[in-house]
Amino acid sequence: MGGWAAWQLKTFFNDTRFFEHVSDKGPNWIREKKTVFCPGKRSSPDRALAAENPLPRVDTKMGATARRLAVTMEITLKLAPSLSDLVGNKEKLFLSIEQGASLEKLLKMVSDEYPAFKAHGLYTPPNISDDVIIFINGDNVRHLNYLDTELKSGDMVYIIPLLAGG
Amino acid sequence: MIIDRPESHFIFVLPWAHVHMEYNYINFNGTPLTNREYLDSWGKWILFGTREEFDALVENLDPFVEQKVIPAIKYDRKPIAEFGLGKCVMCIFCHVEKKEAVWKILLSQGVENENRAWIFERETVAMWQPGGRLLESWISGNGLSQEQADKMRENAKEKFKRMFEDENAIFKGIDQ
Repeated sequence: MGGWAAWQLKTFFNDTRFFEHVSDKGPNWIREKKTVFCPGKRSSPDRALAAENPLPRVDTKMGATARRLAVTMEITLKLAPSLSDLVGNKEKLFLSIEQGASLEKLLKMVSDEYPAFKAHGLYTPPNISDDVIIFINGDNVRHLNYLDTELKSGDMVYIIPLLAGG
Repeated sequence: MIIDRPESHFIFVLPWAHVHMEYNYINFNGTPLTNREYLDSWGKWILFGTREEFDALVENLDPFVEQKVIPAIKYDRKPIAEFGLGKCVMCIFCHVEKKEAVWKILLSQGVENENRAWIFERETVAMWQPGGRLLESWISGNGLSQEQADKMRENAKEKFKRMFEDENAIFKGIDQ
């Protein structure tokens, strides 16, 4: 890796330092130096290097993206086959929603995005239709906090017709 | 063993010992459940699929049923037209405290994790009571007259009353 590029990457990560380690490789025991990034405190030689080369300002665009990613979470919404036409015949939707959002907020978001979902009436504020069962990670939301159930990143929301529960 | 009787709407997977001997698959760690325990703790994972998919899946699940790790399975021979689901439904039954272990088995046989849907049997029983969505959908889907519908509702009410009258009696199962 070129020296200038290495310096750029090194200074971009505020608390990183280079690790140099030696790996054995191949039957001829060719020893190859590798340099990798590792979070941690700066070593003394790095502090000296940092003093000579002050840190550049963090790119604001990257900072804004990082900030946006940190406040949203990913939720999977799946609908039973007989309901998938409500969301454009997709059985699964991967949705980004703000951290700590409730189930109600998710359903409202989907209703706004898909008119057929809204028209079906499976979610009519402040109730869930009696014709469906909604699960979060397999648990019926009627046993959780209903529409106020707080979602977590990676949650799976699954909607099936109630008639399937027989 | 897979029990496929053409006269039945459902195909069952039950332990051989339950069919031919005195073994009761509705148990927790070998102890049969009472009516109360059944309503409190028994339930099922629900899956959607085609008949062919389920036939293939139960071939792989049957050994787990014989080992009594999965208590029982049932699935539709064909989709129930009156319910308009478009797919067959499979129920994989177990005690609520065993449901995660059973789910892991299902995952190992190719079931996707997004299909997690657990329903307690008490919820299903309620749906087959007068006014319950399943019973009322069945009545309207079969075009029953008012008299026939009332008779069916009365029969359902009496049936479940008889079944669960004594909450401490050992649960005997539901005729299907």
